[in-house]
Amino acid sequence: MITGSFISDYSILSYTALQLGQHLLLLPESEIVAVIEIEELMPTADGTDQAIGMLRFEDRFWRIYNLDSDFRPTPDADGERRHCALFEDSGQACGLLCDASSKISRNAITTNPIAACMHTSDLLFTAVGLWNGQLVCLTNAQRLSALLTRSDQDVAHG
Amino acid sequence: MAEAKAWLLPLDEQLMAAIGEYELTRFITDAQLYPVPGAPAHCKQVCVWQNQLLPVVDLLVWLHGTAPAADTRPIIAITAYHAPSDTLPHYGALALSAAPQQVLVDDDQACALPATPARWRRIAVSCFSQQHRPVPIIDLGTVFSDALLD
Repeated sequence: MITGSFISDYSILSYTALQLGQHLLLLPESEIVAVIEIEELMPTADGTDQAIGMLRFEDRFWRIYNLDSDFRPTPDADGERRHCALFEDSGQACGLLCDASSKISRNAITTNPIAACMHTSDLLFTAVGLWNGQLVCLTNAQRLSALLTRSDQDVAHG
Repeated sequence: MAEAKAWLLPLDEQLMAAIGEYELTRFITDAQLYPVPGAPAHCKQVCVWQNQLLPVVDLLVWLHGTAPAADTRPIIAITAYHAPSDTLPHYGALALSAAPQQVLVDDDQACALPATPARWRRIAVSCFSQQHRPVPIIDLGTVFSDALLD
């Protein structure tokens, strides 16, 4: 189940909504460093993880990932996705490809915690809501980073 | 001889489950369902009911361990149940193949659980025979808990 602190975290004033196909993934706006348009990605140094490439932004290298329609990391880059949301967690600099991004006020959505029967251990988000008739999924940089790290480790360990 | 009302919930042309009279809150034939990315196969959608997003459990998928059908099943039953740690009612939806039917059940109808699907044993609290077909009575608290996540 979702932790109460996440749902009732009134320090979150707005979310950055990342359009991923038919779904919207929401992260606290304060956790997004930037959303940039990308031209071309550099290959990763080792190529042994799920990152689809790297880019340089503000003198740092950011590992870039893509999610499939089930919000699971995929090594397949989607050529149509030209935007990238950059975020940090525990010193890791990562980016997530998306189709588009927008800002949503916290007051504009009513959220519900994910039901116990739906809450698998690797589910990226902890709450869902509706916004403009569309389902939105709420997560944060920590959960997203943890998902990407786990995925990298799964690939590294075969 | 004790009698009680129950609701028969058709899951497909062969399988039915039953719940208690007061556990069925509402039956909706044209529910708007929203797919949830990454959710387990038996619970891949939510519906809106009274400003809440409720999980929609497809028991047929879980019982058979199969992938959900490509098309959504917009017939749902909104059910109410109590979680062990909470006195307030909780709500969840079940995907159905047809409208629920209310029946009167008496003790003489008690029967053994069907051998298949074997997973009935994990969610059924008892079983009765209805028109020569076994109908497991399911525990909604278990159905909507994490107990079905294998």
